[in-house]
Amino acid sequence: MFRFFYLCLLRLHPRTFRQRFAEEMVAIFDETTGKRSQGLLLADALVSLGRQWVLRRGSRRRAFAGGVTERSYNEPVFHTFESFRPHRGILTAGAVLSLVFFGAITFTIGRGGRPAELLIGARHPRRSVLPVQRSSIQPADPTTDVKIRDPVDPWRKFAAFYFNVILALRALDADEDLVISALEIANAAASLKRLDRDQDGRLTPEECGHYLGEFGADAEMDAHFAKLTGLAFMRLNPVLAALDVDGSGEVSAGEINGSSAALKHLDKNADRSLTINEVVPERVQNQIRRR
Amino acid sequence: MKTDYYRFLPLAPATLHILLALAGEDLHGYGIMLEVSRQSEGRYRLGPGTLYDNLQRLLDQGMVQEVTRRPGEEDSRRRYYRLSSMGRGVLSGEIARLEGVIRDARLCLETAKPRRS
Repeated sequence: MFRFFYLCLLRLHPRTFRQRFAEEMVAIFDETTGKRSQGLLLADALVSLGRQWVLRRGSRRRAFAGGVTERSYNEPVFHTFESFRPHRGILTAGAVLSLVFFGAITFTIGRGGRPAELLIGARHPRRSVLPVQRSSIQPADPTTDVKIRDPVDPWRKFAAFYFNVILALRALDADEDLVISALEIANAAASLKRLDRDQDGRLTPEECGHYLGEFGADAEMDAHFAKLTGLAFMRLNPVLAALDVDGSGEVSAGEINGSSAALKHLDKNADRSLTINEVVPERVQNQIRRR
Repeated sequence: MKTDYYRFLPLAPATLHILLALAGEDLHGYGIMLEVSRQSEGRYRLGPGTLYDNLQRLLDQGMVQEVTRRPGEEDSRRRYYRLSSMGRGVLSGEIARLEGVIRDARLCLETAKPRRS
């Protein structure tokens, strides 16, 4: 075993030294008996290895360069100034490592721009998600409905704009997730009453988000035209149309109180909530899709 | 042309012992180690690493020469080394230098007065 390690250490010596003296060094090792002596030879080879690579590099290079002169060994090695060129294999390995490192950094930066999408909770409610059965742990149904927004939904940008413009939708969407949830539908009456700025118990098209711009400030504007545009506004939006049950162009106090039931009729997919495709007019949806 | 031996002086202890070992006869590496140990009465032991590092330098400087293998040598891996005339000159110079050092040291010790405490 010692001999194997000794051969390994000799193998690590510089080639010139190895070719010149390795055989003799092995012969000396073979002459030596006793583990202590062989251990000392191992230590000696280790020291020699460091000496040859660290202290004798300059001398070896001079020997390769153009014959060894007597003067070369009188100069301390740290006085040599030579143009050192790394081995071609080392340069190749360095280039490959650099490419790998650059690729890894680029990949990491590319992936780092978007936060990880995590799903919290279970898609399908189970009685218990814990794999242990203990008396202290009572099985229970999940009471929290966690919804993850779809990060690639092309409608999201439009939905944000639409919910912002239609004041009734903004009031209904209390948590501003662009979805009118079952809880928000249940609280629809209270949310809508907050839109009644003049406290007359009913919601006009203007209070629901109808806005005529500079025409609205024109006192000479035909009142009939204003009413027609308001009526069209209320009928165009599915949510407002559902709230205005009698089609009067206004949401009366009675219609406000019955708003929860009216909104439930818009839930086409029966998921107990109103999503963007259920609150935006179909004509507008088609225009968006064509773009 | 006269060789300037003094530029190699002073010699390192390992170098001096190797040259001294080779002064008597041609020796292989292991023989040099044994001879150094014998000359120093076991107080100075050379490892193969140190030995061949010095031998490499001495060979390159021309103080030691490698000689052909002796007939009948059992181990073909062994190489024999011989002290060259230059090596002998350097060794002589080193011995003369050491003699001077010893002479001066004795002189200093003889003339030195004991200090009063």
